[in-house]
Amino acid sequence: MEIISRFVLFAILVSAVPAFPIDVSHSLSSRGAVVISRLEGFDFKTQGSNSLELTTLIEGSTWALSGILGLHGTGATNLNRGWGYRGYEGVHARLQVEFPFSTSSSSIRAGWGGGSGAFFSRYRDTDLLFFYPSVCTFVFLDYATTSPRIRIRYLAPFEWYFRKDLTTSFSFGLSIGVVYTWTVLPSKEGR
Amino acid sequence: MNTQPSLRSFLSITALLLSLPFLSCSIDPDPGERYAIVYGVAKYVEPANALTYSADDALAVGELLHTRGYPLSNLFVRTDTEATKTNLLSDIEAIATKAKPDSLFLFYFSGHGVQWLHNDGSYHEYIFLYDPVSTLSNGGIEDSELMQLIHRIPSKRKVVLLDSCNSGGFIGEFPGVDALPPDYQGNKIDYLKAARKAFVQYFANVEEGDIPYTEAIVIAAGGSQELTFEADYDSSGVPIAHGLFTYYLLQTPRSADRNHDGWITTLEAYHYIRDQIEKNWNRYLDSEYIFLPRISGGPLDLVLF
Repeated sequence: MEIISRFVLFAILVSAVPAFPIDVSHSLSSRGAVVISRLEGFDFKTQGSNSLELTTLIEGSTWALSGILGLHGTGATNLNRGWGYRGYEGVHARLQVEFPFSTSSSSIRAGWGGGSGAFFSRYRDTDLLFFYPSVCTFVFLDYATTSPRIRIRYLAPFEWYFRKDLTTSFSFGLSIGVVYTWTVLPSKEGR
Repeated sequence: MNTQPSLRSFLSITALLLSLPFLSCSIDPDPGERYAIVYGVAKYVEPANALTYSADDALAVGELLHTRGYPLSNLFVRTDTEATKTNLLSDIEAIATKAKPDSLFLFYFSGHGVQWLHNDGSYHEYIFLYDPVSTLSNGGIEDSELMQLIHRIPSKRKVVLLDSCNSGGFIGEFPGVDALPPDYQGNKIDYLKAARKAFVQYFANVEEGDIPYTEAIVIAAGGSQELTFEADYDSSGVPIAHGLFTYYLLQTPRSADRNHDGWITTLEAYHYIRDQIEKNWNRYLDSEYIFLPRISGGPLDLVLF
């Protein structure tokens, strides 16, 4: 019952949105990244990382806010010279704000943004949990599809992690996702 | 007409980018120069404190390390009456003068360990070397004292392996909040509680206690409130004749190499030993006999041998 009530509430909110110049969208995306880490006294090493993210987007004509929930997994580094950095996995959340470069209607829309994240991770092969926040910046490209409600989003993020167990940790990568817009304003139908 | 050079450039750049991972220098996990202190005490002054297999544990681990590349000149194995605090200080000094920052240092101990409540309400853990006088100040080594001792060795890569009761208390609490409670009894792993604690810990001013991850990776046989055991046989009648932690540690070269690179890391060893104790010991015994190995948090994984 609770789930149904929430769905009804969501439907009411979404149906009310056309009265205001905003869109509400959801996206599911997959992100691949290279994480670069360093502990004091040791060298930089790279780790491959993947994440799956569910995003809620609230978009105005010149801005958008997004809230992200995701799962992440980062592999261990190589063991060159007898040591490496551990892999880890966990859950994360981000709040982001984004701005399109241009508001003109086009099948391609680009923009940039930034935000802040919170990560709960577990070192692989252990039960040891740790927390760290992050800040990120990104550029994105939205490609329109034949459906006015659906677009493909490419996103190139750079993220800096404030990990207390490492001196330096940051990542860059590429994300691809499908965005479904619940509300489609008449002025944006040609997008 | 102009597309030909562009296409060639594109293909060249693509090929270069694709080949970069293969052009990078080859990976060699060899830890290089390595040192080890291996102590085992089965015979204590009071006969009631005697253990059966701790000295054999140390001898077997010493043999394992030697066969896995630790030169005899860098390997200090002592048992029973030789495994004293005086000798430990002397062995540490000997290594401290030779080891370099890139050397690997390993300390192994098998014997008695305890956890005591101090007057200020804090718990402190000890391991017990052979002590001819049998007083706490002579034979017992407190967690913080062991940290000070190994700190004298200039290596950045250190591992401490403890096959003794309550040894999980030697592990520094930061970073990484253990979802395994210090008195694990079978199924009490609370990730939500650990996540809350990890969040608070991030913003707290963390005091480095015990052996911090920046000093050494500690793999302890059991939690800070757990007893650990030696055994004659396992549940299926196979002879063990070692401390359980050490018995499975000795199996790691042939059984724990999950990435098949020929080297055993701290995480591979920990994962294998823990898995075997859970499967072959904890599953068959009452909760008072259950224990699980613990490992330090922190971002590093080190090749052991």
